[in-house]
Amino acid sequence: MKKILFVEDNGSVFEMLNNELDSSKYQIVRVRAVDEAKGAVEEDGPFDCYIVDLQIYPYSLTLSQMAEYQNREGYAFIKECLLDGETDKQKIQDIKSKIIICSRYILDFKSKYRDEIEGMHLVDKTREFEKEVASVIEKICKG
Amino acid sequence: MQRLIKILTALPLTRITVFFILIAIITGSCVQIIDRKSFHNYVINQAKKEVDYLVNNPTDYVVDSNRINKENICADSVCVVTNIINNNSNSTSNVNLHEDSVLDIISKSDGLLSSNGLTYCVTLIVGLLASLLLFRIEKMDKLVAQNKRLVNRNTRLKKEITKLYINANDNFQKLFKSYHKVANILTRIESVFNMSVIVGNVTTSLKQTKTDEEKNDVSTNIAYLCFQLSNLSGEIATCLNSPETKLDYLTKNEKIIITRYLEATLYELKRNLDFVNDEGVKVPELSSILENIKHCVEDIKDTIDLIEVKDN
Repeated sequence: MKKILFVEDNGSVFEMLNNELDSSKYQIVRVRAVDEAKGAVEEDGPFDCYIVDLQIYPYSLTLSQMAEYQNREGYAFIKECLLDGETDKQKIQDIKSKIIICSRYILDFKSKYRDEIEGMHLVDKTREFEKEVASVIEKICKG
Repeated sequence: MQRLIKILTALPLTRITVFFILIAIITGSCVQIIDRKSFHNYVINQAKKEVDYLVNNPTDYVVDSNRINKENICADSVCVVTNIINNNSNSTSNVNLHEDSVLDIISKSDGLLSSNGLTYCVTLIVGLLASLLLFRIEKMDKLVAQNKRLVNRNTRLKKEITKLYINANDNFQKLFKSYHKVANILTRIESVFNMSVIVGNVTTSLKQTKTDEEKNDVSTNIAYLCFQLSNLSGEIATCLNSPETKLDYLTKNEKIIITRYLEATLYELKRNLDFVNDEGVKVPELSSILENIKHCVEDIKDTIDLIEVKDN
């Protein structure tokens, strides 16, 4: 069974995404904040797939991190936790290929972090985005 | 036949029709009376002629079987009787025809009508029945036509009412949708304002911190509150830009209320910024966070300012 980490503070959005997935194929862990996400990775990680909302509760981030990652707290989790200390380019690419960033601020985010996020999957939270996310999860987990 | 009579008797006849029927009956009756009288006279005269003939030709017998008219048969009967009477009497003076006796004989064969009278009566009855039936048919035709007109009118009215109902329903749906959109935005803007006030209240406690550690803790907690503020503002911006939830128009009052809330929020944010930038406090990270939130709220206000004002 593939393990998926959902980092999403909005309950209804999580429900929509969860309903699109076959629960018999995936073990889903859901968290709302940066500190919870870090804890889940430490306890149950690594995961086969990470679905990260950009705007999540910034608990455990420092003041300067909160200022730096305002409206992109989810990316703070990716950089400070998932990619933290990793130097091997291949491993970095491997981790990036398992990350889906799902947010309504995706266009601004893309323009600001273009090079850093290459290899990650980006999904704009528009109509029926949950279907796109489910299809990407399936591709990631098959690979 | 009984059914026909029932229909005819149940007919609500107009006064004119009743008048004509009465006239017809009266004229019919007059004609009958005249007809019968002339018939009687004719019979009597025929009988007289027969008697005269018999008197002059006593050996001849009366009945002429070729004469098939009823009047002549009657006249023949009179003659036969008269003949018998005469034959039983020796006096030739008894040849005189007693009109009373003739009338008596005629009355015994009464009930016979002349062919003209009979024809007239039958024609009259048939005519009456026909006119009654035609009258009834005419009335029924009129009723059917009236009914048809009413049904057509009802169908037209039904279509118009359905159209009106659909229009009213559509308008109601539009109004409800519009009201729902406005309520959605307004509640969020209210929440942003309330949160900005809370952030402001907590920010003032920075002045009471004694150590950097304390200051950092308070600032971090203020930043957590700012996250909520930022989240709410972002949601409002998304609502205003999304095709499903964006506002097509606002009433004058709605726009005034929303604008006042946004202005009040901006005022609170500016106060907080001034506070965190103050030399005695100085938290640049909070300043950066609050500045971004202020930009977001200003964008929201600009969007609201551009929305058309329409009275309901």
